[in-house]
Amino acid sequence: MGEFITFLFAGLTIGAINALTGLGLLIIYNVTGVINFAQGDFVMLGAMGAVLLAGAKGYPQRLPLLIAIVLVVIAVAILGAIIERMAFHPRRHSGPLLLLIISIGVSLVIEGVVLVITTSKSYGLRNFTSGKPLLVLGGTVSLQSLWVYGVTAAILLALYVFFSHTTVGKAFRACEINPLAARLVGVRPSRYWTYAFALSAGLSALAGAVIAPMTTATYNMGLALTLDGFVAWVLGGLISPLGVVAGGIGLGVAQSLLDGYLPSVLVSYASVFPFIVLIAVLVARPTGLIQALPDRRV
Amino acid sequence: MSMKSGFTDWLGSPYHCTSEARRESIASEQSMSASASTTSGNFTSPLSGSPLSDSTPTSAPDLDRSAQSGVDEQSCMEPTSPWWVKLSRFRSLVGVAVVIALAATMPAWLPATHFLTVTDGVLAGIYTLLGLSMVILIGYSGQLVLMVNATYGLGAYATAILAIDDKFNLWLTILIGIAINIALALLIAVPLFRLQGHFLAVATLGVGLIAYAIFQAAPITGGSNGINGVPSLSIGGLHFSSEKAFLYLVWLIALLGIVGCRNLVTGKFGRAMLAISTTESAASSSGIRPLRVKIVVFVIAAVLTSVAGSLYATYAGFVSSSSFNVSLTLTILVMVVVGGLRSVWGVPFGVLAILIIQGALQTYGPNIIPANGSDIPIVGYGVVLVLFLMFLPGGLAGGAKQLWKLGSERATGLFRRPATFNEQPSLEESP
Repeated sequence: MGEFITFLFAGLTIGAINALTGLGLLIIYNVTGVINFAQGDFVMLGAMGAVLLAGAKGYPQRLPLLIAIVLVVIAVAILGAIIERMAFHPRRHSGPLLLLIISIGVSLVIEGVVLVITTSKSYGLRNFTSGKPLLVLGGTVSLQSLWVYGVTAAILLALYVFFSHTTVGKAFRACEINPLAARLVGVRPSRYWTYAFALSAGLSALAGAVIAPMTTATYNMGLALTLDGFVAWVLGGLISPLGVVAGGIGLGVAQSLLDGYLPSVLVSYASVFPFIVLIAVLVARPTGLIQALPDRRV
Repeated sequence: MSMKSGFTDWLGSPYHCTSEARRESIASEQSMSASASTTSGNFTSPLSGSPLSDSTPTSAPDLDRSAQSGVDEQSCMEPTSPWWVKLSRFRSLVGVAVVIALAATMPAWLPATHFLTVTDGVLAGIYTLLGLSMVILIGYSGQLVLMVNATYGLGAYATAILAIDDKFNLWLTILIGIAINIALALLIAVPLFRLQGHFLAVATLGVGLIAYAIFQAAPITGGSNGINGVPSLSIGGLHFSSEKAFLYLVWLIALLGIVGCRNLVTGKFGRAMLAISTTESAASSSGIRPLRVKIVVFVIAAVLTSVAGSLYATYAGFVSSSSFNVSLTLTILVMVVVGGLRSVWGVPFGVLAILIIQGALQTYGPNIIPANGSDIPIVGYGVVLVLFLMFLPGGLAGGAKQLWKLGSERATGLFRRPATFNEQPSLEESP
């Protein structure tokens, strides 16, 4: 029982990160139609940036953690906007395949630049709060996991308020639902491409900073994160933020339990599980997942 | 040609057309003679900017220029056209000659660069085969299939596992690898090709990741320790054990692949591929079965990559899972984009360009960047990929064609046509 609880909480942590990456993909896709392969690299940038600014585990401290994280999130958000302006915007009428390949290129560039700076070593960040892991129902939960849950919940709440109660957020949703109608009421969809990239990059960077103490940050961690986020997004049905969160958490818990309980012969295949789920879901509902949005008011 | 039209119409634009279709439209234009300037002039204008698939060497006269110059000029152009325009009818033969010359002189010029070896030349031949599979799948059919590492690895492991200790004849194992790959392709094609666009991309990337995990974990493949002692190829008394001999063998096969793919994409089937890459429903309404076309292309691609894998296994003599990582798929994608996604002839040049960049970065990079030499090329890949996509989406081949056209237009004085004639319709712009 205690073992199960431990795996469950570990799964929730992985799931929260999957969900945040998936939400980043969803925000960009809904506004721009781009599937952003660099999403996981934004997470990596958040983790790596927090490590660089705050000082890696075992190295002298530089900036206080809170300031480091705020700076990193802002910097990555601005970087997201710059990337959109430079790489995607000039080619935005060129069809989805070209944009997808561009995002693969952007991902390689980010990884390359980080490689140059960090020289392919991996770094950990110190925990946000020190202390012993909590005991819950016989299982253990690390304090950092609690931070992950808390930050994820706060982000979800903030996103909900942003999208449903602020004018900018409503304009975002207008751009997703009907770009032409949005233009008619004075919202420029092409400008919201940039905002979407900035928001999504900042969100992912925050997720990266929060998990940096639990997983070491390396320059090439992005692709795996992108793909897990993608599975969460597809599971959640592509347009529903709540669905993405549910999909991400479900996936994370399943991953963790498989890792824990699969017989040792099969455990080396556990990493394959998300992709089997992904292909199965995609193939089983190839059209059902891409639902036409009903006309809505925001 | 305006730069804009060259950039925007290569993927996803509704204005794609093959040179064959252009010929047909020109034929109708000629039959209409004088009225050509009214309707068909507007009709052909968006086509002139699309990346050209080269015209076939013998049967087709070079009509690309006459497509732009209009009918009037054609009659007066043909007799006076200079030698290089006449030569362009034999572009494919020229291509064959250039690739043969490039491959034949490889043992001389590769070591002369100081950062490439003959091994890179062999790898270039193998990567050319992999790149061809991407050109026909992604460039011509519009199916973003990103699982080269899976089929390549399957071919390599089939050869390595079966040929070790001389259990089977090596040539037989290549055929067995092909058979396994075809079987697998047929098995997964139907469910996979229910997906479209980037969902297909992600699903196939997932297949590549699953394949890599299996290569790593399955007991039969030896994981990262790999399989050692794959014998080298021989036919009759001819042994391909020396690097140079194998280089020529690989490039012979690559050339066969190139010519085969070119014939595939310029024929009727190639038009069907282009048709499904633009509008699938329109293609199926004109009698093309999209699923069948996709499956055939998928199987051909699997065969190409399987052969490449088998060749790699027997060349290296050692196969381990690290050679079939997903990053291989991305590397080949970069090579293909650099060569020109819609150019069969561009593939070897894209492959060589990236290998040269990679070699130079690995040799000189550590002086500038303090990192492992093997990690450094990733910097170059990304930058090259993004720069090409932004400024030369047609790749090296597209750029060469633009230059060629510009040059011969200047030389034959065809630059006089009205500037608006070649403009892309403003549909690309947002209203």
